[in-house]
Amino acid sequence: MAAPPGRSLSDLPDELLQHILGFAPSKEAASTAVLSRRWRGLWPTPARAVSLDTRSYSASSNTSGGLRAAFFHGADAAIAAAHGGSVARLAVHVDGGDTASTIQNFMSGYNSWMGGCSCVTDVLAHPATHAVEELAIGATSNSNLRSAAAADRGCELTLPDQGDGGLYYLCMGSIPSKSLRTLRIASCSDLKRPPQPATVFPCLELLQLQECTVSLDTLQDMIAASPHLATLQLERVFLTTLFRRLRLARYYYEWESNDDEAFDDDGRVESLCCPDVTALVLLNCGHPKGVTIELDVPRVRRFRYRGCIHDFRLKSPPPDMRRADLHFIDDSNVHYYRQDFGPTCDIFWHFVKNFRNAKVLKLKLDFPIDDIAVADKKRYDEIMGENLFCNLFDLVEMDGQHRRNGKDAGVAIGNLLQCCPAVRELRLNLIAVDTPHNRWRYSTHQTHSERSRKYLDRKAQLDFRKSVGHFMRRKDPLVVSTGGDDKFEVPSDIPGLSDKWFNFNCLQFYLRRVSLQFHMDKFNCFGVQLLKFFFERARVLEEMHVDDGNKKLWNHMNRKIGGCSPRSSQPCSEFLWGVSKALGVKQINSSKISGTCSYPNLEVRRTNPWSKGSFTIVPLDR
Amino acid sequence: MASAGSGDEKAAAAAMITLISSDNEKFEVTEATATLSQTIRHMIEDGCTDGGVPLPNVTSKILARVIEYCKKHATAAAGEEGSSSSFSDAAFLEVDRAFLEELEEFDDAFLEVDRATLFDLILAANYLDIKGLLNLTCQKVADSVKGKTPEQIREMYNIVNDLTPEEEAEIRRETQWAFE
Repeated sequence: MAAPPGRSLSDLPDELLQHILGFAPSKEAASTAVLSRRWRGLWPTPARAVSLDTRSYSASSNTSGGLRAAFFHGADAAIAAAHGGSVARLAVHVDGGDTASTIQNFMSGYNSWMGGCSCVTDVLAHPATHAVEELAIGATSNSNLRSAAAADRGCELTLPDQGDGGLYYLCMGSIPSKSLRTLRIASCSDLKRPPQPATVFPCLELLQLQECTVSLDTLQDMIAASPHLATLQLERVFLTTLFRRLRLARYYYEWESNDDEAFDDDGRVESLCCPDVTALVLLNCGHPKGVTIELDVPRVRRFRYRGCIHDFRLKSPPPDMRRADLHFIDDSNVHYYRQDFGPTCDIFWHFVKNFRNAKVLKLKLDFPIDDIAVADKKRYDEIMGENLFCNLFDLVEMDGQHRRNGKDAGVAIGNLLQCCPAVRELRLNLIAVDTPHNRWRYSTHQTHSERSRKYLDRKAQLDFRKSVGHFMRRKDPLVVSTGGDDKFEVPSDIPGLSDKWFNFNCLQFYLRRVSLQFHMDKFNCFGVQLLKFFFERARVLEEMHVDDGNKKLWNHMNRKIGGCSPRSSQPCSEFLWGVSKALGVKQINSSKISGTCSYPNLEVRRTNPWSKGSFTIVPLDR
Repeated sequence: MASAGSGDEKAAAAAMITLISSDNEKFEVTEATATLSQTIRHMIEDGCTDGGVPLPNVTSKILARVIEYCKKHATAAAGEEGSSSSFSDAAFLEVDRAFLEELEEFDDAFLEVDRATLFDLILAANYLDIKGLLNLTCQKVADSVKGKTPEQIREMYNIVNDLTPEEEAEIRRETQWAFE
């Protein structure tokens, strides 16, 4: 067989081959010893990693008993082969195939008809794994794979429900916790607390749960038992509060409590306290409806959240917050029965004001930003209180959609600018949707905005061809360099943004860079109006990055540079020329920026005495 | 005024480093991007980056891709205080990946390369000591042997078996569990 051109695996030095083997399942890794003489001594590797995967054995036996025997025989051998008789990294993955019920047998041997056989709990109790530093336990079954794939496609809008996800249960007591630094558990239906004594995780730094169901109490205990826990990641985790309810129910009769609310979840607030966590990720986590979970995370620096706006809240603003990524999914049909939470805008701003100390704030909304608009100054002040975001924000990003009509979108942008009076960079990525926002299209796999975006990308191609065609048919000179053509339409002001009560401190002194991404469906669209707004109002602007959804702007510009004598005409697009002319911009120059940017950019000189002399417009690099 | 001051700091932080590939192509990158590589970080600390950093082991084609990776990861982590000092920590980068959806997507797309390029990337990541990239690329190779027999692996990677049948039989006996 002819060797393929270029580099091959054999070109890598031994230590890199060993590094690779450290990531492979132990069975396959060990079997590489027969590949050739060179491979003979590579495994076991110094990384002391053992990765056990039932899928490695799927070909070896047809019966589940045979597979099981082979798997645990291999597990013992792989663990025994670890350098120094101690495993540092252990990964266990059990695939249940079509019968998810076998997973529990594999994990703990419970209910096993084959009494006394090995199970994963035994592997975890093995003396060689006692000092394991990184542990990952996971499981899959065919049905679970399908649902996971479905969840992946629509992961932005599904929240787990009680009983969703999870193929086995695991007792915390069976986890070798002594030296554990990272613990990842996936697809666990119940993480059980040991009765006594409680397990302690003296070195645990990272805890990740995926597709799990865990009671809030267990999670809280685990966090409390991990004094060094810095990173907590919960992905599609359902947090039950059932345990607490049962306990309440038990005491109900003894204490003759008159707390009738004990049985009623609605409006109840549970708290999760993570005193030492500095990085917190909560993605698509769910909990019993009607309960709000209050996060007490005083030291958190990075926070990423994706989910309903109602489900979690912060107890107090973390003082060291550096970066917050908040993605609120459209829960309008999930929570239609919940009126007691108050309007979305209140909850939104209450949530967001917790991040007033952050350097970077990224917001993504799956519902129109109109919903977060607070048009009344008094009410806005009530919500935000005296505590404006006084720190210097480096970056605020808003990714979402706005309704085509009405002034709420403008008000929402105004609110946003108002809440960060010292922001230096602002990115707005907004897509227009037709009113009313159709909440019942929700059940499909993609979010509304995602679908709009795909549609727009496709449409952009057509638009572009059309615009080029239009451009080619033009008879008059390409660019009017010195005026004389006054038929340019002036984009209108944004009704909401011109409200008197906004003072826009950031525009006066701080905002240096603005990125606008929008879809220009007509000249006087919201994006262009925003462009105009920042043209006029941002006085210390240095850079403006624009993506009008189809790059018409820059393609036109390129054509003009190519098609005209550079001296006689200013290379700028008709559109931009129109805008800038309408805004009284005196001069637009194209210049090459040094470095990597291959696009032409425009330098805009303004003559307003109160603004900074010039700023540049650069196409947004998507 | 305060903002002007920090703007200057930013300008200072955006000092450029020139990297020179084996085929003499020059790449200008920011210091934040370059220091994802421990090798380059040490060079910067030792102050020997004036006139460019020659990287005789990396071709321009591979270096361009490596820089693409570093740029993305560096900008994604930007805005966090002390982020540049934390880059040395592999765990930190792992956390970042989970933190930033865009990085996960980027990494997946980044790995869509042919095998020869993948091995070149592994060598470059190792030489430049970029832990995140090294683990990412090695994981990709490890994933490719999952569930494969030695014969399949040999064929996939053109490995010539130079063991005698007796030697091979002996290895199979020694680690019988791996061949069941």
